[in-house]
Amino acid sequence: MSVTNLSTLQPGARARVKDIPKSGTTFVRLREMGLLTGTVVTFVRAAPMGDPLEFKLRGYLLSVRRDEARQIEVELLADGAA
Amino acid sequence: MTAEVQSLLALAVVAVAALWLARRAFAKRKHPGCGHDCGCGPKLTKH
Amino acid sequence: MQLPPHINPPAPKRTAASGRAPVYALVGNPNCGKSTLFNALTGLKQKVGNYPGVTVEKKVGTAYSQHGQPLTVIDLPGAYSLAARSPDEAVTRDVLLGRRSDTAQPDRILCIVDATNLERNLYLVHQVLDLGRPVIVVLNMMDLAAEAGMAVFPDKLAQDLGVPVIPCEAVRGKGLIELRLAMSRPDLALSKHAWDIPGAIAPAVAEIQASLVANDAKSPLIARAESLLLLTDQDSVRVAGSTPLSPRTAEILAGWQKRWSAEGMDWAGTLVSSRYDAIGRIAAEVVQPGTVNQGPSPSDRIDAVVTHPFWGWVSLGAVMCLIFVSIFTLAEYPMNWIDGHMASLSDWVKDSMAPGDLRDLITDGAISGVGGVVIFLPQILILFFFIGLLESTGYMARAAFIMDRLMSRVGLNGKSFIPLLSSYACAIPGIMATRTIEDAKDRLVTILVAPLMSCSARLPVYLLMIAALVPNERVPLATKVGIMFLMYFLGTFAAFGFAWLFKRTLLKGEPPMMIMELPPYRLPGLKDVALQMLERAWIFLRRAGTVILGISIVLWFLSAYPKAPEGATPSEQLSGSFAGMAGHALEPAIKPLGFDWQIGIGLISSFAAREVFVSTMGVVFNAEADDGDTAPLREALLKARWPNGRVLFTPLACFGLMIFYVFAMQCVSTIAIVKRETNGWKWPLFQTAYMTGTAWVLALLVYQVGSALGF
Repeated sequence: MSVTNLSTLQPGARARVKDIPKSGTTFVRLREMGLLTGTVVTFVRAAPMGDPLEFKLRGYLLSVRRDEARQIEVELLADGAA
Repeated sequence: MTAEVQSLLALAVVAVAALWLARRAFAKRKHPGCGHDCGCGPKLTKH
Repeated sequence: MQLPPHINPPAPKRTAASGRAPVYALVGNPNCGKSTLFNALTGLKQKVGNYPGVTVEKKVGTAYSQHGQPLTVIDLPGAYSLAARSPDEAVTRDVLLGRRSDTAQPDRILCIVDATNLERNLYLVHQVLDLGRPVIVVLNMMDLAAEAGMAVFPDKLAQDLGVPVIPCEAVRGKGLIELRLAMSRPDLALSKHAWDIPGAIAPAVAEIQASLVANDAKSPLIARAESLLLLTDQDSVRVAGSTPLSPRTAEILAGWQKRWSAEGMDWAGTLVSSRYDAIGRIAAEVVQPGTVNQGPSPSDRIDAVVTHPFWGWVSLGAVMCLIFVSIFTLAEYPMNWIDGHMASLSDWVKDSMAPGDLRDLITDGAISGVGGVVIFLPQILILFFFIGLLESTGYMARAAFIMDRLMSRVGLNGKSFIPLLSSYACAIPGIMATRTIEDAKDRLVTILVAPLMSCSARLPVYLLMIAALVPNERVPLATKVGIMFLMYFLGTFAAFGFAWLFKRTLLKGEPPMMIMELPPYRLPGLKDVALQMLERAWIFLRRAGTVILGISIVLWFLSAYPKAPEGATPSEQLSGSFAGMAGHALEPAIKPLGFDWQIGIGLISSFAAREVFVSTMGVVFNAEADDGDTAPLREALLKARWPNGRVLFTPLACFGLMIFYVFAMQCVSTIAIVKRETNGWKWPLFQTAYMTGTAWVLALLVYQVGSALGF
């Protein structure tokens, strides 16, 4: 299992959140939207111009900018590309 | 209606309109952000 | 008729004292079918207004219980959390917490939840349960959950939360009877759902709660919810109308935060996590995830196209084209119809009254003034129809998703795109659509630049000026279209340029976040879209019938008095009137731009609505342009001369005038809307100054540089 951040995933890859920055209202809101340590996230696609990124978590789609995604540490799950 | 009567009536209407607009601008200051035009019910604005 | 007590149960104790029916608040995440449920419950018995001080729509409706007893329902703005991140969410939070002086705290809360996305939806429910009010949970979209192969057990949820849970399909009206029955129950138990506040945080919650009771006069139950909220997000959005914390409580809060920061503890994250832990346990019992649901859903397939690197742009372009073609072609028929009827109304008054001032006031003041604004109603209706459609299908979020990168270049986010796009039709709906932008500074920047997008009221001015600029019929159409396009481009370019400038200077802020849900595509709720459209139309019409009527009457007076001597032409009358005097007074300021006092009158009259310029020019130059045919007026303009015999409407002056109209803030209605949205005169005045200043400088440059170059 490799540790990376949310912005580096390949489309279709699944990953489990390891760490989210503590401070900042943006990250509090991301937690409130259900993106918590331990949550499994699937990267769906990037927007046509490469930013923002679209993720699937807890059964819904969420768009997050690359700058924020970069600060979220994840571990890649093996069954990702399936 | 003669032209004079019409003029008098027209001036009266203008005066009413001007007074109403002025009063409205004044009332708005007392309740910032809520004029009648934005759909506030009479319950919300105290007159 | 008095019904026996068992059929008409007595109202609950708390509300009996004030002698009114219980007030329900309807809350839920965005995109969970909240407005559909609200419309289904209240039908047309709705009252739409604004919360004083903020531009958040206040919707109150009357629903009837199964026994015919009226129930008040407040539709609160959609929110993901009570720790508010936008003015909309702040209003929801403040109403629920009883912080607003203008809205009484609701007696009961209806919490609507999307069954296909239970965990995230339950987060808000979980916060709402803390409020100590009876709650009814409406489990909406049960059909979609079943389609996705999920099994959802409402009874289990009711048992876990300790509140009534009503399964429902709001779109089809299923479950409404059960909901009405639950709503008319005289007694609803408070939730007994307990969750463990993490040990490290519990003492802080207790201390802040005690201080809120002692120093902020909160009831103990609300105080607990409030203290949890304060700990989740201390930077929560504050809006007008909410009461600030007492100094003592703020001090205690800051003390705890300082201590935790020193210890490196993530208190907000811990609180959110513990709520999600509790929710996770509930969801595991209530939902059995689908097993059949493999492969892409229809939503995924649509997204693969509309967010595709190539087809995404094509579809966005197609949607924009469709909207604009509709606004400018479909609207033409009802606009002509309105125009025709206003004209025949005017003729009828002229026929049935003797000539005189009152007749002139009615025809030239009231009818033409109000008519000139009402004529935009079809365009506004069409625009709101499409905005409603885009919102209810879920495409709006995709447009923001695609445009975000471009908008971020000037420091805005994708959510500013639709408001700016709408402003091509009219800045007023555009500015009203900025409500979905969370960040206050982003929202303000979007409001400040929105009127630079060339609205449809500028169109008649452009058309007239192009006609005067290239009067030759043999000039290819492409030239005229090209000039028109240049004007639109200039406005758009300026809007982005100024947004960039403001974000770097006046309104410097964090780069805006772009946390946005991309909701699954749904068939549009046409009824809801239509209802929203009608509400807008009504607000717009009422405005035209009151303020604009008043302004039109006053403007008529300014151009009709003082009276010119008997036998004067309309042009002589106007030149001697108060408006004419203002035009003369303005001349020194606009002479360097190549405009004389007669154009000055037109510029002043444009404040009522920009297209009034055209009719004013008609009066000034004694040319009655009828039926939108600008030819006679164009001829008259071309004959106009300065006192020294120079041509007034030189190509350079026409071009300068168009530039002036691109940039100048000349619309009283827009100024009024901006004042309302920003809660004061500061920003609308700033906006008027910077826009009109830019207009003046650029028109000056065009005229002076152009003259120097010999044009």
